[in-house]
This record gives sequence, structure tokens and C-alpha cells, in this order.
Amino acid sequence: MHTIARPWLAWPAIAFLLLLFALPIGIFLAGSVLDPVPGLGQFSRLLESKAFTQTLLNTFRIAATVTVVCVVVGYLVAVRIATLENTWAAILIGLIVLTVWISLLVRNYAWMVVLGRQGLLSRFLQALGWIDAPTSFLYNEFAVVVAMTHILIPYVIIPSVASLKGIDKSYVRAAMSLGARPAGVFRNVMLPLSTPGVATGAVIVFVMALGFYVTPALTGGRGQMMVAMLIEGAVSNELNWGYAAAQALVLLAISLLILYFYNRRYGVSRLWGGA
Amino acid sequence: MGRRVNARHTLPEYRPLMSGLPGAVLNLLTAVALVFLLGPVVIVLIISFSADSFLGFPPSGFSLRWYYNFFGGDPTWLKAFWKSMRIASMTMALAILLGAPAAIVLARLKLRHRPIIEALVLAPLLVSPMIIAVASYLQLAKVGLTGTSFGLVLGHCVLALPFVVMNVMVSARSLDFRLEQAAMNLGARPLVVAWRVTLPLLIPGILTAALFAFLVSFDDVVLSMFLSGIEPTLQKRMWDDLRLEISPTVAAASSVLILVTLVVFAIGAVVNRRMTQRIAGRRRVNMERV
Repeated sequence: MHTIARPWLAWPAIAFLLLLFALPIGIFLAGSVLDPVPGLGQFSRLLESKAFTQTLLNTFRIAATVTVVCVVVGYLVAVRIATLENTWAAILIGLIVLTVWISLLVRNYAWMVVLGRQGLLSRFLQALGWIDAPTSFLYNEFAVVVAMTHILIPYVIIPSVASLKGIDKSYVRAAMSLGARPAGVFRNVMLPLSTPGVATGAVIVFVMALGFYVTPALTGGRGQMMVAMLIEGAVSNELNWGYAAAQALVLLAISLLILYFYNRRYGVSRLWGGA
Repeated sequence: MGRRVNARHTLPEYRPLMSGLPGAVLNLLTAVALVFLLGPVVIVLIISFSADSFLGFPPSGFSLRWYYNFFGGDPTWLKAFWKSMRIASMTMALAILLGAPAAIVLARLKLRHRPIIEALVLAPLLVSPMIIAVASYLQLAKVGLTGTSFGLVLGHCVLALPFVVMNVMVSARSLDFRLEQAAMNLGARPLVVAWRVTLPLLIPGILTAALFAFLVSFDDVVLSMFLSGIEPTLQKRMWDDLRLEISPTVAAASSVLILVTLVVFAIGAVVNRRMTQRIAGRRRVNMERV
């Protein structure tokens, strides 16, 4: 093939990721069975630990809730954006992409401002007379789900819009001229043809949500402890690297399992943005 | 007629779908979603001008005191800001140098181990940043790179590479490879082709990738927590503030961050547009010559 691309051009990037990503994670995870003594001690501690089981449940519950909210709301918004004229669709997608790139910490802080004791929601509900005293809506599951949805919903909207935009419009015209009603067009043409886009979004959201740290740490309470927070605690407070590694291994194994099933159904290369 | 209002600005094929109640519901939902996504950011901008010394909205008065605090009152803020700028610039350069050539290879060549290479490049996006941070810390500590700018740049580069490779790959795929073939058939050596044909055509993609790499580094919290050492990055400085006492200086810092993001986006949009026009123009000229 006549091209200037040569395989060796990819080597530096591959070597970099092997050396600074794959290898460190591999060594760290190996610590789960080697540190402090070889064996499965860390895992048996993990199984006995009520805190870990509870945290794992929290993580799943929160990630699942966030994914469901993101998929339902995100898909409907995507349908509206994808059916808009191209200029309007581009403007709305531009605004949504912009929010993705506003610092995660800033957006978490924004929700602390809105949901805090002196925040917008508290003052608004006081003005309506629904609550009597300044009330904090922070440090509970509601706050975590709201803030995480804010951060993750674009990952459903963007691939879903791409998928919906990719539908050949002659299918839509054909369905209508054959007498399908709008609901039928949606159910039998748009929904099945955009499923891969939604599935991609859902997988990205769920897997990313499983590993969240900043949002639950800032907006959650005791009941919203997530696995990434336990890992940080094991390293920073206990200096128990083996225990942290065992927890990380469980988290990674779950993520890999989800990606494995996604790959069997749709092919992981879709995550590259192929709608 | 009233029902048709819901389907304004809609593609003709979809107008029947969007008129009536479903259209009204979807319009409302989309409007609410946009307010939900953008509203909090606007609130942060407003609160950064607050005169109050606590976190409240709406503020009781307006002042520039938190900006004063950020830009001089407390020198640690500005120091952290410049550290973040330095780290992000270096990350951007390194990630492009490593990622762009790899992206061209992935876009063009049939590779035997493609699935594995793709998985490796994509993985940093899907692995929890906490795991990457802890694992990098453990290894970088062994070679004495924790707490150094270089170590942090290496860590951020891991996070930025997926974005760089994806963006450059998309634009390398859309590039007409016959242009390269033509140059080579006319006797240009591969390096000349790369410099005179491929690179200029890929500039828009590389530029977008560079901006993403910059923002990935600039916005990172978790890696900075472990790797930035005594001198924090801006995100780390904000994080410390949010964990201890939440002063509205964080809002001023946030506004500066939002501004940086907007500027980066604007640069990207303007340059991308110019480049695309120039390339389109050049292509037209080439066609006329043929």
C-alpha cells in the first residue's frame, strides 16, 4: 500500500502506554496476592469486610441509577436534537460538548452551590413556603446522582445523536408513505437503528460511574461511599497497598466483564465513535 | 397550526413525528436538559462576583474580592494556576508527539494485533482514574519522579493519549490518501510527503487533539492528588479548599477555569474553520490544475 504510514510510527505510543499504564497497573494489582505476604489473605479480608460489601453495593446502585437516568433522558434529548435542522443540531451538540470540557471539579462545586444550605434550591423552596428553614440537599444519594448525571449524560447524548443522524432518511420516508404512524416510525425504524449508539453510551456511563471518586467524595454522605474512595483510603490512611490492589482488582474485573459482553454483542471498536 | 409549532426547525422527514404532544414533551425535556447542563455553570460565574464570605445563592451583593484574592491576595492560587498551565502545555506536546503518528498508523495500516493495540490505547479512558493514579504513584515513587512536574506530565499523558489518538485518527481516515500517492508517484521521498502533504492536511485534527490533551491535563484532579507533590496544580488547590473550608475564591478560580475552557474552544473553532477552508481551497486549486 502506498502510504507514508509505517508500523514503527506507533511503537513509541504503544511502548509509552505499556511502560506507564499497563505495567504500573499490572504491578500494583499483583500486590493483591503478594503484599504484604504471598497468598489470598487480602481477598479473604475483602470478603469478610462488611464495609467493602456495602461499598460495592453502593457503587453498583449509584452507577445503575445514574445509567438509567442518563439513558432515558439522554436518549429522548438525542431524538429531539437529531431530528432538528443541521444548524440547530450543531449548536445544541456544541453546547453539550462544551459542558463536557468544563472542569469536573467546577461542575461538582456548582452543584454544591445549588444544593447547599444557602443554595438556590433551598432558597427557592423557602420562598415557595415548602420548607421553613435553610436546608442542605447535599451529602445524600440524590445529590450524588444529580451531579453524576450532569457529568455523564453527554456520553449518552453524543453517540445517540450520531447513531440517529446516521439513519438513512429514505427508511423514514418509506415507512411513512407505507402508512406508518409517527409512533410506529419511532418504534420500528428509529429505535432499532439507534440501539448501538445508546448501548455504547450506556456502557461508557456505567463503567465510568463505577470508578467515580471526586463526585461522591464531595456531594455524597456516608451511604454514598464508593469503591474508588475505599482504594484511596487504603493507600493514604492505611498504607495497605495489597488491600487497595485487591479492591481495585474487583472493580476492574467487573468493568472488564461488562466490556466483554458489550464486545460480544456490538464490538468494542464502536467505542471509538463509530456510530 | 398550533400543533406544528413544536416541529419548528425540524428536518422535513421528522416533522410529523415532532408535531403534537410527543414533540411538545421532547422540546420541554431538551430545554430542561440544557438548563440542567449549563445552569450550574452560570451560577458559579455569578457567585464568583459575590460579596458574601459564605457559599450562598443568590448573593446579597457583588464585589471583586474573590478575584482579588485569586490574583494576588493569596499567592498560592496564581502559583497553582501557572503550574497547571505549564503541566498542561508539556502534556499536550508529549501526547501529540506520541499519539499523532500512532493514530496515522491505526487509521491506515492493517495491523495483526489491532484489537489489542486499540484496547491498550482506549483503556485509560475506562479504567478508574483512582486506579491509574495509585498505580502510577507506586511505580514513579520507585524512580523518584513523584512530586516532580515530569512525573505528573507522564501521568497526564496516559490520560490524554486516548483523546489524541481518537481525534487524529478520525481526521486521518477522512484524508484522501491519493494525495500522498500522487506526491510519491511524482518522486517525493516519504519524509517530504509527510511534511508537505500529510501534516498540513492533518493539522485541524492534530490541533483539536492538542486542545483536548491540554484540557485533560488542566482538569485532572485525582492524578494531581497523588503526583503533584508540595506545589499543587490549580485543581489540587481547589480540591484542598473544597475539602476544608469552601470560600468563594473557589468560585473565582472556577470562573478562570471556565474562561480557559472557553478560550481553548474558541481557538479550536476559529483555527479549525480557517484550516478547513484553506484545505478546501487548495483542493479546488489542485483540481483545476488537473
